[in-house]
Amino acid sequence: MPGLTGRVAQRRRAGVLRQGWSHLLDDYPTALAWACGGRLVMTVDSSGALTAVDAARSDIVWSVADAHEPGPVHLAVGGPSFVVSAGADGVVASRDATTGALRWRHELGAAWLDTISVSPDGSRIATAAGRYVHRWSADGGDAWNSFEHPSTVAAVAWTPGGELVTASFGAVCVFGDEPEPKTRFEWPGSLVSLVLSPDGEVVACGSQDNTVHFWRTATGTDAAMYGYPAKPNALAFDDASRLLATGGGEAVTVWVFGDGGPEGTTPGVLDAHADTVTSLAFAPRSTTLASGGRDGGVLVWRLGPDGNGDAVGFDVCDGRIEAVAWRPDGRSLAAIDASGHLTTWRTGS
Amino acid sequence: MSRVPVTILTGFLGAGKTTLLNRILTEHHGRRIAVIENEFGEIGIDQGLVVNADEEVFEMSNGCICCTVRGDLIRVLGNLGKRRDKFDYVLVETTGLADPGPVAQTFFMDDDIAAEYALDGIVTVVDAVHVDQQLGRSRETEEQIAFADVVVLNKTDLVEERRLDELEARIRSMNGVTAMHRASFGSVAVDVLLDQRSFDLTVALDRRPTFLEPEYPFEWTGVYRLDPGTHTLRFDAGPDPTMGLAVLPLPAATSEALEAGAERCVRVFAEPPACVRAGDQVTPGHHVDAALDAVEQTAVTLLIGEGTGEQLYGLFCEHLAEEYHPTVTTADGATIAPVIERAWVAAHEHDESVTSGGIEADGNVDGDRLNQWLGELLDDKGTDLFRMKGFLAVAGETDRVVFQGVHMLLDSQPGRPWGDEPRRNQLVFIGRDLDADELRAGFQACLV
Repeated sequence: MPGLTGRVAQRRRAGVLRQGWSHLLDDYPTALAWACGGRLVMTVDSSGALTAVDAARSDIVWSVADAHEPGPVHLAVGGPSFVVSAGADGVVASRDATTGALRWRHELGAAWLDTISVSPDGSRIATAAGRYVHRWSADGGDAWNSFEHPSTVAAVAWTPGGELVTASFGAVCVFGDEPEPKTRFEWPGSLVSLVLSPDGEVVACGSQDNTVHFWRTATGTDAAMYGYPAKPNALAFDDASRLLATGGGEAVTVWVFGDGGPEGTTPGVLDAHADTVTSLAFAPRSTTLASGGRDGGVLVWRLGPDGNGDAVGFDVCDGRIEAVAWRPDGRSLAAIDASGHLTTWRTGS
Repeated sequence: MSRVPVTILTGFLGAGKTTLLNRILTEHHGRRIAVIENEFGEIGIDQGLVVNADEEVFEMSNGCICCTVRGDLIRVLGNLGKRRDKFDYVLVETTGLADPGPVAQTFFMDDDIAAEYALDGIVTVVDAVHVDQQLGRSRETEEQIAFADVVVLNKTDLVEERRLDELEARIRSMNGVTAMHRASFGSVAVDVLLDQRSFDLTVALDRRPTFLEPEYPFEWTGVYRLDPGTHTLRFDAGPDPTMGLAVLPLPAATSEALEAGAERCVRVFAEPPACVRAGDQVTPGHHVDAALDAVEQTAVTLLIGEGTGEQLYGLFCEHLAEEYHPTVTTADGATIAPVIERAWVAAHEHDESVTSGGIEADGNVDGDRLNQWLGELLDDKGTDLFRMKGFLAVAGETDRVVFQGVHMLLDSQPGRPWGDEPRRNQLVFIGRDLDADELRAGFQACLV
């Protein structure tokens, strides 16, 4: 893409990352997800186009050029069957993942939609529109919205039981069926990112003041991790709810939960990116971690129980990495970068 | 990757921000501008890429005002960056009540924003009709002026020239380094607003900071055409017991010559005055304090020496002519009317809480002592110090050290080499309730 990046195209292969195919999209890609059990890779770009690519054959299975007005679009996949997207045009739409056929569409008005998320069981969908979050059931019905948060909702997540969780300035809110939150975890700073441990016991947030703050949901006890050189935008928990990988600088910092930690423990530090870490994802049911950076680097790490580990795979894309995502079987990795490329790799030792 | 420049447009509600914005957008300047608007103005904006966002001030958990940033800008600019090919300049129009500090700090404190955007400058639109009422009442207006790199004095068609001079002087007393442009209906050339690189230290040296106009120690000057010989200078009685004055030859009866003369006269007034009483003699070129009678007129003799014949002289008086009615008469008793006269706007007329102060000193500073002093100053006064700019001669460094700051955020880098030029230091501080003498003393202590 002209004008997007000055980074020289440079493809290198190393370790477990074996490059598969790469697609050049029409515009800046903003979100990425695997669908249909790993058969398709979905992406959206700032032209408003939604594209589904066959992971094995690399051909485009379907695409919708004007799924949204131009602007950043967010994307999430639910269950085996549907994909939802939300854009700067204030539209939320659900499509059949296999065919791209529109299932339902809601116009929320002027608000710029900042995130979209599907509950772990695929039964609920939520999006953040300014200071509100909106929630529907998977069929687009049962519309519900939250109270007006004191500031714009930066991120949403779900408890294992399907309760909606939001992060904004000053608090994490957990919602039942009332518009008012049933639980609030407060912190006098701006929370910019959010992750829940898969067992639901820990909620962690990156904060604008370059800290990671976490709460134990059962007791509400909290702790903060200081010392990040930048705000931790990227957070990821492994499936065992034991390792929390955090960005917030060029290094990935991994906190180990359990055995009394992470309070008072030394985190694992994964140092290889040449610029800020932008995206993190654990492979399913494993302690293998993928990291993407502003430097265009994509790395795969094998982590030990102490959160330290070695980079076992490495590649460089043409622009800053927007997102990395593992195929549900953990055997492929996909990334989108600022040069407009959607790239996949096969991973294996 | 070059960063996208961002200009912040501030100004009190009704000052004409939206009019100016529309002018910028409709002029053919070849830029594709994205606009972030915090205010739904009374006038719509003629442009496709306009994003409305509510102001969200993100205070930090440590309570530090200087770390406060604007969450709405982080979010919107982050998203705009994902459609980079569609625009190459960003204008942020804040609300009239916005504090410019967090807006500016966002571009230095937030890693993601700093990587992709460069703050180009802060443009403050000032309503020439109403600013007098707003100053003193509105902290926001004061701070918007204090933070400005460019002030657009708007609605000048509705205000007399003399009032505009006074307003400019008042604004200068608050911010001695801002560029200032007069306008009506936002009619200012775009190239004095955009691409100013006001926060770019590499160009900071090319534009010598315009230092404060001195606070003139005199309030009025009359220019007279005088022949050699004896004249009588009379003053009415007034509230003050003395009248400080000086008479200086001037090359012409123009405002330029008058201003140049005023600069010379500032130095004359800096000398200790000679005290004179009624009937005493006064000669040109000297600072004089004339004792005034409490009730009657007071007359002194003005002696113009033999020279080149008739010559123009400026009579610089400590107090205004409308109070003391100075008159000059010849030996024959004929009254000489001034060719031109001018009242000087004394900066101390307005008791602003926001002021700017300059420090100029020859020689070198000790780098360690300076760092320590600046560190203590920022710890102590960081909240009240809005902007800081200047260059330094640091002992042992062959290049100038150029620096500038927003609140506690301070940035410095090497500038041009000194070479054979005399080494000296220039600093400007803009802030609230600053003690200029204390600042000067603190800086002096850092000199080697």
